[in-house]
Amino acid sequence: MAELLELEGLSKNFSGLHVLKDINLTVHAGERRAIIGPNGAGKTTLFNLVSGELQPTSGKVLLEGRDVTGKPPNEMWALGLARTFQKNNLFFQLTTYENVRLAVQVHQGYAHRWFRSWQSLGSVNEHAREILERLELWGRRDEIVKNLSYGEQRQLEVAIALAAEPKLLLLDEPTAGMSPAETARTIEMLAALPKDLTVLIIEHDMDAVFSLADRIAVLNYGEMLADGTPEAVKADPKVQEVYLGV
Amino acid sequence: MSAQTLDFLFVQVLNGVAFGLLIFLLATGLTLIFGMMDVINLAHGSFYMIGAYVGLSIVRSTNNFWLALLIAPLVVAALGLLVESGLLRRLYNRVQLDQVILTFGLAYMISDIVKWIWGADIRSIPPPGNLEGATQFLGNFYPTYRLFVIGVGILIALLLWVMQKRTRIGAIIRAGVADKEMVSGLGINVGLVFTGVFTFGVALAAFSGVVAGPILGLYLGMDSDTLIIALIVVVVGGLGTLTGAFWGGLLIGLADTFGKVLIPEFALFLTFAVMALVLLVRPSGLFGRKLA
Amino acid sequence: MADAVPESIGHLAEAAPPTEPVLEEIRKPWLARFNPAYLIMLALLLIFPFVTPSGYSLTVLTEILVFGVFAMSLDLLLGYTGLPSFGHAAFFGLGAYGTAILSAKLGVENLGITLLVTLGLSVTAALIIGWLAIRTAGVYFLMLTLAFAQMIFAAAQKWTWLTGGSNGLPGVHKPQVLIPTLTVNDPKAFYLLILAFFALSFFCLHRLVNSPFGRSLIGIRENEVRMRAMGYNIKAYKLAAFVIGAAFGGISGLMYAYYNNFVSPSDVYWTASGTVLLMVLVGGAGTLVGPVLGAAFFLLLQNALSSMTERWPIVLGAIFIIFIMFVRNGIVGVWWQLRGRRG
Repeated sequence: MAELLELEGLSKNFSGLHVLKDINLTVHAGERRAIIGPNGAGKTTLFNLVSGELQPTSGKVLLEGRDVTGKPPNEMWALGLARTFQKNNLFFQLTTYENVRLAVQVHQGYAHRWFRSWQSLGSVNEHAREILERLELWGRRDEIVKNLSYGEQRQLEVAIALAAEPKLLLLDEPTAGMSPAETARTIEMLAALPKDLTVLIIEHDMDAVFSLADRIAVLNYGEMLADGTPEAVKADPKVQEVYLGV
Repeated sequence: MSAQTLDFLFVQVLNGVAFGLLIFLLATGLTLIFGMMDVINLAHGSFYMIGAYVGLSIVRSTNNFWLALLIAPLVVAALGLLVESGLLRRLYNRVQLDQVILTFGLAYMISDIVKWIWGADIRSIPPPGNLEGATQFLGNFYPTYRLFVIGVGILIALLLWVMQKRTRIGAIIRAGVADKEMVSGLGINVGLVFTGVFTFGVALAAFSGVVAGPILGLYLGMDSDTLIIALIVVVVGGLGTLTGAFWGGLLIGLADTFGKVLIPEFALFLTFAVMALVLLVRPSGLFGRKLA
Repeated sequence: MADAVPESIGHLAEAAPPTEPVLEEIRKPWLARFNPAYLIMLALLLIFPFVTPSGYSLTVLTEILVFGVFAMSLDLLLGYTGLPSFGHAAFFGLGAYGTAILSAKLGVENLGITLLVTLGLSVTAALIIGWLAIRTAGVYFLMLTLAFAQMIFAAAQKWTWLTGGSNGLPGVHKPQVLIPTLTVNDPKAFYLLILAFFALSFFCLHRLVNSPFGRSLIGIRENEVRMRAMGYNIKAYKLAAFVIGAAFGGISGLMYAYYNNFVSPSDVYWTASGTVLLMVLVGGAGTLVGPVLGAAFFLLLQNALSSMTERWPIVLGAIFIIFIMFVRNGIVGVWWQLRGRRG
């Protein structure tokens, strides 16, 4: 299987504070890869290095074999990488439908069309509908986003990421702050994502991680503690030590 | 250089300095209000105007210029207090544009109220008796009143400088301009400071209105003309800094005076071009802090 | 840096998409796609001159249409894109002075030529000013647009050889339309010409704000950071909006010059920019119809009040303040609240 994403020796210092040390990670195409670890382990920093929000101090990021280290977020977006954030950054005053539509219309290249009514853009509206239905948000399409529940807003973040038809999807704690029912729904939705989409997910909810992931990487204090199948990771004594009581 | 040119230069420089100090007085209030409260007070020229007209009335009825200089700012301070606590305060958690527009609406009203009370004729405040005429200054005769203006301007500048550097109030204001949240976190009643800054700012504008009365005159539209000049000074000097208001005022005052004499058709145009340039190249102004 | 962009209410109207048969939109006959309310309004405006008794009311309506276009053009910037311009009178002024200079000084009577020149002036100025101003945001954008507009005011005020200086330019003739003999001197004919300009402007702007481009502008207003992350070229969209807004601003200036037969520097003064801003906000930013209502509200009130009292600015100013403080969403916002829309 081809390696979609490779991280080689990735490190990040913030003026002497070593947030990430020499991370090596591979993600196969179509794989569901999870990254877990205690708070402050450096998981979100890792995402920021991959998606371009931050520049690594050393190391490389390779997407489909191509060196994309340090490329800015909108370039990474164009290269087929989409991500969600821990903090929702939606268009809170617009409808659910409109949030996704804006992402789709720019992806399909219609965003600048000035004479046709936006309602007549069949392919844009169809694709937006598809995505919303897949995330079970179609029923909430006319609702103003600030009125959505927190869980629904998190789902909308995923919807917007999917609008760009990415090859690699980075999900930063998608179930954070959700009720058990919402979490279950999200796990279902994530499991139903297309098989050709590669997913890299940061999560704290162990049910989600162990049911979804093909392989799990465990970070602790910026270092890779363990990396392997869910069974291997569960059995790893180092991991058990770190998670004792968690 | 001939003696005539020197004389001409001398007069123009003094004119520029006098004018510059006047607009410094005006701009101080505006820059403090913006620095502290993030509000562009488009009614600042209106308060200047009210001060001038109230001063005019007091001089006309009591023949006492000094009384006018005292009372007019107090009247305007009371007005400012009403405006800030009654109207402006309700918009603090709104978008900035709303506050700007409120002050614009206020200016719109005040302009006509002034016209209603005092009429549309062009007026002037007569300078006090002992300041009329000319004085010998550095070998030349120069209008005494303008020397007075320069004196007052420098005096106020020094007072303000001492106040901001040495007093607790000054420290609070300097800190507030730099970081509002921090000041509030230190337990200081920011709302009270806002009210104080606004009231003081417009009172100073009124004061400069009375002082400017004998030189610049009183006419319809003086509020909008003056506001624009004050805005330019604030932008060029630096939003929120007293030093900026002072040196910016002098700079603009001299530039305007010489510009009107040397390149009358382009002076005004260039003034705004400079304002635009500063906003584009160095938005924090000559003396403002570099914004993150 | 505190955000200087107002919360626009336009999204409340435009947000709800028709859900089921979206594609049928394309197959409907062209005329049927228009909101019938607009067609009725147009019909009413068309017959107005023929049913109204007084020439005065026709004059007022003509003025409303002129400022309606001016306000709509600003709404594209302020209401839809979130650009707080306090210098829109610059383009109004360029249009007005361009027209006045051509007509009164150079004797150019042809409408087509004047329109081209006016648009050329406005668009060129907007490209320069816009390109520079877009580099800033919020309060700085506000002051920068004000500064640029004042530069144009300075030119109008001081370049007496060109603009007549503080005395202004009188003697603007009504234009000739298409053929030299067709001069629209008759008030009814002139009104219909202005109505044509208004209707076309409204139509164009309406199409624009309901197009994908228009939705992109709204996206930029709502969350510029997110839009950039999604791959939108923010600067290009903002500049395009700025230039289009300026173009229609210039057109409204042309309409004004012909309407008023006289142009003066006060038409370009910063207070004029403030007044049109008030029209947009009072009517309802981000709705296109709102600004027209705002212009109508302002001018009707001005006319009604000035016949009752000389102190109409005080009343008008007080009303503005009340609107800003308590009726932030403007007239259109009130109407929606009465109709029970959410938000």
